[in-house]
This record gives sequence, structure tokens and C-alpha cells, in this order.
Amino acid sequence: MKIKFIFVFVLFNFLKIRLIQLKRELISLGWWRVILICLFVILSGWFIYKEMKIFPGCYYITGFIGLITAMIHIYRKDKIFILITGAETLKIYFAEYAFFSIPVLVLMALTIHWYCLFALLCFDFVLSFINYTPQQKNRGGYTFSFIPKDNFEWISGIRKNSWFLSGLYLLALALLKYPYASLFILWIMLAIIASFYKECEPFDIINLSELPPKLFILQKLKLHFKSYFVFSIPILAGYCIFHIQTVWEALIIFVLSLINLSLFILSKYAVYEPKQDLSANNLLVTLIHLCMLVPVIGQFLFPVPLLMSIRAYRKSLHNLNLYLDAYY
Amino acid sequence: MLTIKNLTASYGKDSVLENLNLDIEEGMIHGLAGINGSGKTTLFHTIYGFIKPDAGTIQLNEQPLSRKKIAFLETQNYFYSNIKGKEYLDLFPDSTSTFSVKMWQELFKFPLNDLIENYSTGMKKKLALTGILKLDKPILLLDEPFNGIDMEAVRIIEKLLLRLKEKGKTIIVTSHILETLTAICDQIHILENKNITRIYRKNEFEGIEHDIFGEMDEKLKKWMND
Repeated sequence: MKIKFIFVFVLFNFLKIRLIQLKRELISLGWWRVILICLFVILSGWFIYKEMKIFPGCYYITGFIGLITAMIHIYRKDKIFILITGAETLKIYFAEYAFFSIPVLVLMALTIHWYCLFALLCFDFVLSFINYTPQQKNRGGYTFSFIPKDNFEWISGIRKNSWFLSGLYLLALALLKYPYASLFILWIMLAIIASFYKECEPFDIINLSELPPKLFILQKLKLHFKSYFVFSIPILAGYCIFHIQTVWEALIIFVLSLINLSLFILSKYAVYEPKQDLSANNLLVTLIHLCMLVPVIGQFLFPVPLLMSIRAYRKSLHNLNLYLDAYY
Repeated sequence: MLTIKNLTASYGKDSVLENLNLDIEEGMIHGLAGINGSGKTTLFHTIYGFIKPDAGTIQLNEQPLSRKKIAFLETQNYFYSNIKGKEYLDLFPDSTSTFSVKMWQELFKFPLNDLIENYSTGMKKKLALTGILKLDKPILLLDEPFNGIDMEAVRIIEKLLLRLKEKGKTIIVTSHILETLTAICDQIHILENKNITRIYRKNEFEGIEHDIFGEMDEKLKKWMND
């Protein structure tokens, strides 16, 4: 009885810590971003609910949620910490995944997909047994000659996502013949590139340029536009060759990509603090980027990245002033 | 001369430094000693311009000190993830024609082609130090450069700092190990009660240990006997 009580206590504390972390992340984002995230969550909930009513939709949703949970489990960095606390890791993991799946589980129950509900719970249970964390020991034996040495975000990000990006890149090249397919994949790849900007570099790296904030930002944008240009040009050029009559589609995608890339960079420096992890901030801009693909809603989102970039640019200048004020 | 006058710095309502005065002679190695939380890192952050002081001035030869003249080694070194040692060093411009990455690699034995997250704490410290030395700035702020470093590297860094002093660099260094400071410093400044309370010159180092630890040693002796 006493052991059970201790377990419930530990479990409750772990869930409490997660909720506190979530609250802190939301507070750090600011109220208007929280409203945007809430809107996305509601829209996603509505989309999931709609999809679940249709026959194969429920399977796709279950698979998607399972995949996300698996990714979180494999890459979570607190496995050793949980082990050290002496808690029963299996139960902790399962309770956490089940707890945060509640909204989806409720939707599954509402649409009377009990088998999907049980399948997801079983998957979470099995997942909790897996104690695998990928090692980085052997990664990084190759270099990326097309990335300038100053572009550490891309060097790091491409190294981290090399397999996934290579697969998508090859797929985009293979599907050049088909309308929109390669452009769609290029858009998805830009969502991965967005994750390159979730980490804040140390202060001494910012300082290396010895430039005032405005020039620092312009130089940064130039450098990253150049890298994106080199990265995307084989796909865009190939698309233009195969679809000569609709070259403008590739051009529009390229221009929109550059605007979104600016947003990723500027939103990082708008809230930059040395050594900070900006996952929540990064998630928001990635969501906006991905939602531009959603029919109907996407059209209304087209001006959003541009407006947000302008706002983030102003905030970046102000924020970087603290770190680069010596270089006016 | 680097002159700090009436410096007051705080984190919110908690003041860490109050009316601190300090004169740093150029071309010398200055040690900064004090217990944990005494404000050594805050003083470095303020000199570097990372914290805006509430009051007071920091001047180099009667001109406001610019960050352009300073290289700063932080206590805890953070590196961008998934970056190799060589890629990290490539970010730092070669400000000195005599700098050779190969020589440093041989001295410190760090695996430049490995990812930095696989480095030990000491290796990371050595890599960060190599990076800031590449900048060739006239003032070096070194916050705990000997932390987590092996004996061999401690000796190399000591020799290196003495060589940099000969070249005219002004070095301010903190350490928890008094011996490392007495071995290389020309002056040791004691930071306590939010201010510099004592300054020891090289010929006064013999009595420093007794001055700092004397009272504590007496207390310990008494407690142990009880």
C-alpha cells in the first residue's frame, strides 16, 4: 500500500513538472503567440475530429500520433534523469504519453473508434519498454562543401537530419516530372530547416562579426539565403525544365520560402538569449509554415510570415542591441 | 590602465557589486579570488558589457572600455550542437598571423574532427580557450580557465598566460585553486562583501593563504576538537 502511494506521488510530481514546464514555455512565448497556438490546437483538433469520422482517416491519425510519440520517446534527453530518481521508468513513460494523448483519446472515444484508442494505448505501453537513445559518436565524418563555414546552423542542422533530408531530397528529384510534388517536398524540407534555428548560439559567436545589429541581421539573411539558394536550385531548376509552362509556380515557392526563412531567422533573434532553447518559438513559425499548405486556411496565411518578419526584424534590432552595442 | 570606479551592479533587486573600485595595470596577470557567489563572474560580465552597471564607470586609459578590446572565456562553455571542433575554431577569424590550429591541437590533443558534444569538460574548456586566443585581443577575461582541466594542460595554460603577458596582454583570471593564481599572477584581488577588500602583490603572496583561510582554519580546528 505504501509503495503504491509513493508511486502515485512520484507520478503525480512528474506530471506536475511537465505541466509547469508547459506553462513556462507558454509564458515565455507571450500572450498573442499563445492565442495563435491555441487557435492551431483547436483547428488541429477539429481537423483530427473530421478526419476520424472517415474510415481510413482514423488509422492515419492513430499512426501519426504514434509516430510523434515514438520520436519524442527515442530522442528525449531525460531518460537517465528519470532512472536516477529511482522512479519506475516504464510507468512514468506510459503515464506521461497517456496523459498527453488524452485530447486525442477523447476524440477517438467520441467518434467510437475504440480499437484505435486501445491500439494507441498499447503502442504507448510497448514504447515505454524501449530504452534506446541514438548515439552521436560516429556522426559527422563528412563535410558539406556547399555550406559556408560561418553558417553553423546549417552545418549542425543538416548533420542532425542528414538521413531524413537526403531521403526527401532524392524523392523531390525523383518526382520532378509530376506537377507540385517536388515543390511540396521542398516546402516540407523547409519545415525541417526551420528547426535549425531553435538553438541560440553562445554570446561569443554573435560577437565575432563585430557588426551593429542591423548589419549583423542583413549579413545573416544574406548568408542563409545563399545557402538556401544552393540547396533548392537543383529542385527548382529541374521543376522548371519539366514544367516550362508553369515556371511561375517554382518562382512563387522560392520567394515564399525566402520570406519564411527570414521569419525563422528573425524570430530567433527577436527573442535571442545566449544558450537558450527556443523550441516553443520555433514550433509556432514551423506550424505557420506548414499550415500554408492546408487548403483554404493556407491562402489566408500567405501574408502572415511577411508581417511577422517585419515585426520580428524590429524586435531583433532592439534585442541584439544589448549584445552588439559596442560595434556602432 | 583599466580603471573601475564606484561600480554597482545587480540582478533585479539583489545587488552583487557595490561601489567597487579596481585598478588593473596593463601587461600584467591579475587574479580575482573570492568564494562562490562573491560576484567574480558578475564583475566579468559587467566589464564585458553583458550586464549594464547601475552606477560607476569602466575605463581603459580614461576612455570608456569597448568590448572590441576584450576576449572572454566563460566558466561554463556552451557550444552549438552537432558541430565539430575544427568547425568551431573556423568560426573565429585568424587575427594573428602566428596562430596555428595544428600547434594547438598538438599541445592540447583535442580531436578536432569529432563532434564537440563528445568532448570531455576539460577538452571543451581547452577548445573554448583556443577560440578566444585566435581573436588576439589586448584584454583577456578568463573565468575559471583551470576548471576540469588535466595537470598537463594546467601547466600549458600557465606557461601560455605568462607568454601572453610578455607580449603585453592584460589578463584577468579567476580560480578556485589559490596555487594556480599565485603561480602566475602579478596581483591577486580578493572580492568579498560586494567589493575588492584586499590586493596582494607578488612579494606578498606568502601570507595570502593565512590571511584568507586563517580565521576559517581556527574555526575548523575548534569544531574538530569539540
